[in-house]
Amino acid sequence: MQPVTASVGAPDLKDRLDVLLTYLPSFLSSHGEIVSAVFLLIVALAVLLGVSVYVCLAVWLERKISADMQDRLGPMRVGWHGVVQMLVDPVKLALKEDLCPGAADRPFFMLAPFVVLAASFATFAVMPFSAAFILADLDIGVLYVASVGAGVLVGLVMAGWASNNKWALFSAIRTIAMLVSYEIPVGLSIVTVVMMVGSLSTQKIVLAQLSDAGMAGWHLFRFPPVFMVSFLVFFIAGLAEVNRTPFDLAEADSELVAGFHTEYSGMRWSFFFLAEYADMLIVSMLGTVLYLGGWAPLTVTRPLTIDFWVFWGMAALLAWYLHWLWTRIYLPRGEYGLIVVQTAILIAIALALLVVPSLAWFLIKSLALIFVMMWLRWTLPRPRIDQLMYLCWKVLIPVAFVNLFVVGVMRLYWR
Amino acid sequence: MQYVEDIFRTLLTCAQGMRITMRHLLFTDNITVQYPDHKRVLPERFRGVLHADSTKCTGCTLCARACPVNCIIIEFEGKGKDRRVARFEIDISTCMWCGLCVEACRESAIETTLEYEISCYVQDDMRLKFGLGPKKEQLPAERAEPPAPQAPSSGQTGGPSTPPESPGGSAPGGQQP
Repeated sequence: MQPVTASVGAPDLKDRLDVLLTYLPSFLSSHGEIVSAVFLLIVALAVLLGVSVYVCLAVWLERKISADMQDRLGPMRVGWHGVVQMLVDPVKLALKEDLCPGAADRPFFMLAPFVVLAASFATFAVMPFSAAFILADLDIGVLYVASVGAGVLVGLVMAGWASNNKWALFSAIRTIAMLVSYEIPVGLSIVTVVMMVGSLSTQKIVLAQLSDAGMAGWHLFRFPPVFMVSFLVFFIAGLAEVNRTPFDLAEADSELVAGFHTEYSGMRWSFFFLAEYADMLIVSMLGTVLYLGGWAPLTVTRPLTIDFWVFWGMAALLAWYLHWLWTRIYLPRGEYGLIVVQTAILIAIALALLVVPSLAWFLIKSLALIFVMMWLRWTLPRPRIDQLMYLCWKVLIPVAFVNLFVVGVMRLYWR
Repeated sequence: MQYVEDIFRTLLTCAQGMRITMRHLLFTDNITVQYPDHKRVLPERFRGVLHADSTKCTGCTLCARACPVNCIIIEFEGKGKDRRVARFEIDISTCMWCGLCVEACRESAIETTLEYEISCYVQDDMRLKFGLGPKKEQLPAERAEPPAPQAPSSGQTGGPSTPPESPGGSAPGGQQP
């Protein structure tokens, strides 16, 4: 049957659709790579969308957390506790005028936000969201993150230089000095993990941390305290990599007006913002992959074995004991109903932890690290530039080197 | 050794700082309130906007003299029993809320209120006028007055306009911003 011949003069929409539906399946089945490419594109767009949603959420969370830490209220007007602020902020930014200073280097000025954004979004390609959900399981995954993530530096320097503004240029100079320096401790602490696993693939690093012992298999708890120090070095240096307070010297608002994004406005400015929060997520995800077991669930034992019931039974006993301590002081004795409820809740938690999907575990762990970043931001003041360099070159790098050596020796003798 | 000690002290102080912020995040109540919906209960002796009772006022100008920023203008007229406060103006945009005028007043005629929402669109609204105004028989004369001061003041634009009800001639020259 040829549906095309039915209407020669002017094929209407229905005929075109018929043609498409007739020939598309056979075309796709003979060109499998197109199917997978389209599928990858869709998944990539989903990740892009997810990261954008996360950024909106994180901005709102940061505002609420910072407000609560300073005994303020934060956004309260738009929706319940200002939740709708998440949607309103991007709309406001999109409606703002996109300015370009007259003396700026126009092409580079216009391009810089996209370079920053592209560099930070490209790193999500190798993030193992779960056992199956990874866009590209590269053999050099961690190296890819470190190298492509450094593309952010290029974008920031472009923005700082093209703005033709002395503060923006100062900011660009500081960014170079800081990011290039802090790449070293990050790299050295990544290498410790890579030495343990023997692979740069992010998925293999996560798989290496899966064990019957649950959390005890995570790299963080390997050879204590060696890998804890390694994680600390990674996290501190990662904080500096993403230009977050206390290491936000590149956009120190009290010295350099707003650093490299002084001259930007509207959507282009928001791209820098988006990239900053995406970078936070990348460092958190990388820390999760390298040290916190990636998408591995937060269990201490293998599910539904004797160990599992022993662990949760101990937890129940502990809860009973604590409850007894509590009631002996505050409540009348003999509240057995409460104990039953407690046990039921504990069993529910134990079973609920089993069904939490690995994707959720990965996101929970990453968001927990992001919370720590926000926590640090609203706790610590900003160091001077020389103190920053001291921290990197005289503290983090020596510590990372010693750590690397210790891990090498450990790996040699204990496996 | 100093080096190692510094590192540990850095970590320790960071942890201390983080403990404090976490305590504020979890346990400390918010100090700020949703302002137009909720307002904080003001202390009894809160020094808000000044209020003057011209019927109590004797026109002694002690408050105007006590004022460090000269924001009180008092004009009086008549003698003996006819003496009355014709003009009693407090420029609340100049006032610095020190309360010295309240302490200076022997008749408790001027006092602070709990009012603090004083935003307005015209600066002249910031001049609180408590005077009893000129006597009745002076009113026509005063109505005829305004065109005369208006003409010279139109030359110096931008300056704060003198209040139109100011009785000409008897002004003590207290208002020259």
